Amino acid sequence: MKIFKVSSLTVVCLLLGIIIAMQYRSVKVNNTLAVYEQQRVNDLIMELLREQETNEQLTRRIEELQKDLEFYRNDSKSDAETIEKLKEEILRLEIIAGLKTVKGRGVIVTIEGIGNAPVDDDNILAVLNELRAADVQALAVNDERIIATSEVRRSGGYMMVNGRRLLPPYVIKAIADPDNLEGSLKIMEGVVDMLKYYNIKVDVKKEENVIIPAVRTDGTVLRYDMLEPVE
Amino acid sequence: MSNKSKGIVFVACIVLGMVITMQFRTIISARQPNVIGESSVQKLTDELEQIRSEGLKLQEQLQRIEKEIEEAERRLSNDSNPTINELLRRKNELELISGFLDVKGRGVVVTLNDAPARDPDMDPNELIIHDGDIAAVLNELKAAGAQAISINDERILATSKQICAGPTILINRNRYPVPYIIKAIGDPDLLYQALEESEAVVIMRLYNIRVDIKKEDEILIPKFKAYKNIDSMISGMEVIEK
Repeated sequence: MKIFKVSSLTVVCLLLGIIIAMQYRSVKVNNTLAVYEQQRVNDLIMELLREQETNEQLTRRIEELQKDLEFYRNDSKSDAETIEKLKEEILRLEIIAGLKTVKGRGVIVTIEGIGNAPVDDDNILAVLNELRAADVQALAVNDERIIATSEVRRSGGYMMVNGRRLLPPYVIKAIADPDNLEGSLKIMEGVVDMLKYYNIKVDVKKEENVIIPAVRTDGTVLRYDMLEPVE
Repeated sequence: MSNKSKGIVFVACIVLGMVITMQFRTIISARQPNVIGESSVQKLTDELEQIRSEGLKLQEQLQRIEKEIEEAERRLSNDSNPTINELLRRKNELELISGFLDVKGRGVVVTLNDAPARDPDMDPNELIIHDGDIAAVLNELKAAGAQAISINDERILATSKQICAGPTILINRNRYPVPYIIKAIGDPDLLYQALEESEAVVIMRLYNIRVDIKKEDEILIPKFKAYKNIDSMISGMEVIEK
């Protein structure tokens, strides 16, 4: 009888142990699952918002082109009207290509090493990239206009941009759409914090009148002789 | 059975009962948010799918209109008015400069791919390509005289954003997974040499990131996909005549 009592107690305890272990595991698995799903939902929402915005922009672009098309197809337009329209288009393209000096609201970012800490090209590139992420419309480093093919390279104590030597402090100017400006400044906070670790002082200022000069047209910066248009 | 061992069995049974109940309840409570989570993931996925297919239709529509405009412009150039012809020529040249035309030429094609994950204990951050790496490669190409650059066929403009988010990259407005294919038109020898000798490429290779650089005689780089209307790319700027 005694053996029976002891063994029944053993069985009960064993069961208890197994159940506790199972309980622990299922709670753990469920928690990981919940965290994973939350992450998935967040990612999907971000992606959804981005795609929605892209579609809205596409729609606007299509509307814009539709108007152009109507204009070009309208046979009753005068030459003067065509010339005016083309001049308008040309001006817009010149602005995008960086061929015009422009003015607007924006930010001025000043970058300088503390003490002997050198500013590296990576640091400047990081700031430029953050500004691009914030949808800026024009960029310059020490008044050298940044175009699609502008390099930023450190060479000893100075920086080469568009083949020209620039000396510190490096002043980066950016013009942003006023609606996006606040967002741009917020994004910049992250870079400022990061660069502090490299002993680099970054000053970000909002400005009403940022002036960004046109790209130099002496033939050394804007080069396109190797590009052949594809029909 | 002694009173003492009866007591032990009694306590053990109560604890067992409690644990079973707890187990039951956690399963129920854990299931519920899970069910909600799964269905909202499903709903969002469906919605995303739908928006993407709308986007594709819009892109097709955009391409059609762009073609029609090109044709309409060509008809304009048959016009006998020399001013119009000169303006059309200038417009075309500007489109070439600013990345609004498909272009071809000699250059290099760089393929970047994450390092193969051999050791599961390695920090996955060290195996993937970061935006800094891409920025460095682009910078080397620009310094070596590249005249047009694209990443996964997204034309790079002065203000193009390149943001890496985990295993994908956001360029202009579109997201791409690895491999990242960077094309650059320029002197193939200069571009090749500059990249092979660059710190960026050497370091990436040190981390087993796969970097493949090829010289090519004919590279095609597509034009900038202007999703935004052009005005919204320049809306914050006012021209100053000098």
